[in-house]
Amino acid sequence: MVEISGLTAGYDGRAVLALAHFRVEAGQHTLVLGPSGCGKTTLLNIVSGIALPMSGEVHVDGTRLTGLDAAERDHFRGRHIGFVMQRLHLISALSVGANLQLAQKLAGVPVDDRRIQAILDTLGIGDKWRAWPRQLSQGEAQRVAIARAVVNRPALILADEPTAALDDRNCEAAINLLFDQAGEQSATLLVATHDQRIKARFSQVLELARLAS
Amino acid sequence: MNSLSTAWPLALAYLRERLLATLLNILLLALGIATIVALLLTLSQAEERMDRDAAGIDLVVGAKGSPLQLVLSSVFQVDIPTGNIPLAEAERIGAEPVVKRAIPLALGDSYRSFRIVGTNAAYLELYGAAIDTGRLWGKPMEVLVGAEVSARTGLKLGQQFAGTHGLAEGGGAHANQPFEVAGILKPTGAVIDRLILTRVESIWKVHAHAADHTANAGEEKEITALLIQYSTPLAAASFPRRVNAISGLQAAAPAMEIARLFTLLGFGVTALKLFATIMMLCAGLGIFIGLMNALDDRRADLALLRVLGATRGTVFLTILIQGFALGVAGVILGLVLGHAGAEWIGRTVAQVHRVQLTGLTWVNAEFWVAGAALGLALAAGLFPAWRAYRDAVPELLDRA
Repeated sequence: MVEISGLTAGYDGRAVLALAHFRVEAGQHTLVLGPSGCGKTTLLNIVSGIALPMSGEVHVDGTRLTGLDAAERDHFRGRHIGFVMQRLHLISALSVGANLQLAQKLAGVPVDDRRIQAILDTLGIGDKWRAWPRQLSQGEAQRVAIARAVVNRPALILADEPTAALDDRNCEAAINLLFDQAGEQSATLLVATHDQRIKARFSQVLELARLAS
Repeated sequence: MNSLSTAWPLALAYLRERLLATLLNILLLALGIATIVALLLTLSQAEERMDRDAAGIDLVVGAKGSPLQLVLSSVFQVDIPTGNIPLAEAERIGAEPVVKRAIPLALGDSYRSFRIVGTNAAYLELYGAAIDTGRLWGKPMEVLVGAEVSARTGLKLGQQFAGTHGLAEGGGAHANQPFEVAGILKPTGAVIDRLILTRVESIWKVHAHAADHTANAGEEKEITALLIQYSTPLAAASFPRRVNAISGLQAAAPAMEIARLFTLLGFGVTALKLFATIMMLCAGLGIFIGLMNALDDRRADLALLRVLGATRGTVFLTILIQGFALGVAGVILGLVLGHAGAEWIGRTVAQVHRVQLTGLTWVNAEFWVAGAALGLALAAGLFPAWRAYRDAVPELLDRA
């Protein structure tokens, strides 16, 4: 699913991440663990094509990301990758339903209201289609963010600190939801966190450390 | 992926989210546009009307005084006349070979503030006025009533009425010399609609009678002005100078006096246009500031859009379209307000001052105003849009 070789990445010419080889098989849910500044977010940015590495090759779902131009990488990300972020950003100007429709439009797939409703139902927020983001509780907002991450049936779901802001109970619920949805959509999870609580759930753990400068 | 089809609804959703700011921006832009549009409508209609009223009149001959006053009083029938000129002099001038047509005007009386003008049938020809009901005047004291006069005073065929001395209401009435309505004219859209026309003799008769009372009988006959059409445009070179050489007489060319009038008005018009332009620029600045603020507030949203697969182009369009949509709404509202305002002024204020103004017409210059406003709104959105375009996603995420 993800194949990385000879990678160095960073910004402003300074490497924060070096990875000789890293591989995630399809269905092999993987945790990237490490303190802040170790390059977790940078790794997710590279895998999702948001940023380009300084050197090395990145393949995702059979596509060589390092060979695509910026717009192609944007399209690839929209179509093949679902994203859950630490703060559950929804577009505040759009209703829940419109937020999910937007994700479909940006992925370039036809807007499918039945698909959206089905996912909202699965996540227990089927009645929130017309709700505005500000009207949602934190838990509901998180479910919407997860719904949006999986709505396009991505092969890969990336999550950046999805549980950092949550207490133990919500943390457990969020991880359960992510695993359930990933299983249902046959997607592979790649989660970056410094949150040790969720380590046990993953079949592969990549521990990163800060690069000596 | 079609960027536009994604960017449009998103842009509108963002505008709706900041509804108050959006409406204020639209209103500010609309007010600037409305001011300019109302001004354009007023000016173009005033010019059009003056051109129509002065059409076919190359020169006005009247008593010495301000040439502008002479033209205003005898062509546009708005100012008071400069005085009278002897009929004999006027007839001599009218008989010159370069004069194709000379129309006498005798002013001085009115009916409910509509002027009674002594003239001849050539005056009707000048404006292409046709008789709607009745017939041309026959004997003195018979009048033809302009369409607007008839509509506003209710004067009917065969009705008798007394003229008032002077051009405004409240002068002494010539009650023992009543006029009689012989005919009513069709509307022409020119000054003649607002006049009551009769033979010059009628005016003499009214005033000869009045003169008897003040023991000034035996005075030579006078008219107020002579409207002249040249038989050759070359006459303009020397004819006015010859007239001006005659003592007590002056010649004024309506075209020149109108041009002079607009030069005098020019400062006020320029000031108003400048004011409206500044309003529009402020509106553009308002749109710019609004979009820049929104950009700061929405860094998280922009980052999210990019994460969801939006290209830089889509993000750029989303912001540019917001400026454009504000511009379109402002232009539409501004045009509606401008036209409605002109129409409203036409129906209220202008009625009192006998100026006709309608908002139900279109001036080509409005295309320029609309285009400039749209360009301004687009320009206001360009920099915020470029800022959003330029930022890479990691930076957006950092600042989010």
